[in-house]
Amino acid sequence: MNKFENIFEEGKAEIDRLSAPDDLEKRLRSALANRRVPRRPLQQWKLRTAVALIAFSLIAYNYDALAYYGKQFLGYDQIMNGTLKQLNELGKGQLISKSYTFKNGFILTLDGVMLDSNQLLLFSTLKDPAGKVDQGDMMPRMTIKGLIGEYMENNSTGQIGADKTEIKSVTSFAPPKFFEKKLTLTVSMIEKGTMDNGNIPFTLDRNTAMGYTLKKDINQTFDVDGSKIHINSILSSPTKTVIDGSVMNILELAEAKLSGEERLAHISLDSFDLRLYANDKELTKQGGGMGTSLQGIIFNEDYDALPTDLQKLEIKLVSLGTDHQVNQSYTLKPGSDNPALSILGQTIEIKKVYPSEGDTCITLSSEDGVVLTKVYLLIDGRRVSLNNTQDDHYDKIAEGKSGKIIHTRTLHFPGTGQTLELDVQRMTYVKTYNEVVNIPVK
Amino acid sequence: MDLEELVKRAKAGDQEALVRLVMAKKEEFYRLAYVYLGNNEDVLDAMEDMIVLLFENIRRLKNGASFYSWSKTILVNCCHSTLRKQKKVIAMEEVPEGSYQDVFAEKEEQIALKKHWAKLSERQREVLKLRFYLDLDYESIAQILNIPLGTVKSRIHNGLRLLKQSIGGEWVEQI
Repeated sequence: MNKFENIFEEGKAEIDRLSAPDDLEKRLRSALANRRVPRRPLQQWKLRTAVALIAFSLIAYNYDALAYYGKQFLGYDQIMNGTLKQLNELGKGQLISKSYTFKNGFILTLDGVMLDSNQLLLFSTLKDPAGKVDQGDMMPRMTIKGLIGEYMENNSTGQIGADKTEIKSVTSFAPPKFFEKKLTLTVSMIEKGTMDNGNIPFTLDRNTAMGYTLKKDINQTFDVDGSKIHINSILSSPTKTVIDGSVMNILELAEAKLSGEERLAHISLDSFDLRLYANDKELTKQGGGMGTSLQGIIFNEDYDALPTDLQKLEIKLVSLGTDHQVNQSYTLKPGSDNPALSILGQTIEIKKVYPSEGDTCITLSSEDGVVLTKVYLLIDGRRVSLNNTQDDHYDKIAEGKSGKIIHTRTLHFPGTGQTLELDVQRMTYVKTYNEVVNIPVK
Repeated sequence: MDLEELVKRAKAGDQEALVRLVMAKKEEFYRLAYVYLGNNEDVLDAMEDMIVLLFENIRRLKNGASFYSWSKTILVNCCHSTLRKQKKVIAMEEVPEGSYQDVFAEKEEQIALKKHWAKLSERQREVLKLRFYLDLDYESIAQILNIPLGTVKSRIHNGLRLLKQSIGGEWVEQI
């Protein structure tokens, strides 16, 4: 045994002398104390891999979807029509996501805008963390200021969330001029009598603008019984289709004034039923407007967007309500057995004639749209004007395949007497024409 | 209670079973760690680290019968990491308090031996200590260190050769 082997002898002897200290067990236990059974590391690893794989496959599979969800305005489903929904799903809008916090804590967020040739749509959310968003004193109108002009809102659709913490709305403006880029949205809120003007500046990205799909001058006229409805142009964009026209141009207005034959002088949008058919399918009417200008009485009718595979486009004048001279008198007697009146082919039933509180009341019914626009009552030879019309009600009556609406109302004339004579000077009624103007698409 | 049963319980999260498993061979664990670390405090720390790792990983042990070689491997790893940490941390008191065993002669010899030991690589020293201090056979060493049997053999062989050269030469001089 040499010295060399002693090295190990010494070392081994030292080790052999060792014995584990008494506190080993205690130390081991205390090390384990507070240690919980760990999650299975292998399982966790598997789980992570699985989650990663699922996430990856979902993202990979729906990559396009996610890419455009990133550009969508979320939460507007309920207040978008089908066309807007589709455009939103295609990510056609421009995301803005800018907010203004009002002094009362309300937060208005401009989520995004959608622009085409017909309109600028603003998608906005008004939030009240207190859940009283419906009690906010917000001015109903939004305005947009541009470089030169100010744009007023045309119309707006909104919905209050069930928990009353937010209102989502889509507001339509006329499209800003082509040079407008930097715009400022202004919404006013009244708080304790003072106006709090919230401004949200945003920059219009014209690259996301959708332009138009069809723009055409039409210059066609519906000439029905001497009444003329001019269709000037059509502008269809991805969000809607607008038909511009005039009822009477300025010359016709003057002519009518001179001749005293103001058939269309009191026309309203309700007076005519103009429909747009694309590929023989009617497009939903979305609204319209009417005004008088130097051009005469002009109107616009808004419809849903045109289909992409447009083959055929027609505008149909279904009916028109015009005003006519009558100048006829009809003798009435008190009670319920007056015969029906036939005026210009329209039937007016005299239901009841009776005195009430010093007035002479005449209850009559006619088809909806028939209105005695200039009517007097001769009471014992004395002509009295119509005081008011009351108790209107409308009944739908089935008549073959189609139905009609019967409008019943009571006319009140001041004073009572023995002999009564109804003097009908003018009457408006709606006549059905179903005339079609074909718009060449190509 | 036999080994398999205790391992099964430990796998189910029974801490007591695990402590019993370790305590059943506490001297082996203690001495093994001591070979590496050389002082009681570090050994206890390393064993604490070990039992925590055992507790957290025992589910991964497929064969209950190999619990001890598996757990010793973990202890050796704990010792290695302790040593690594010690390299980074320089203790304020580098020289330990002398124990009653220390006599000058022993000190001198130890210093001389340390010189020889220093000529060996860390891995050779490790294997030689396990072989000769703990009387472990080659196979056990291979299992604990998780290295092939051939590697154990070659490390022991080379280590011994280097030691012989070192000590022998010196010894010759002294004679």
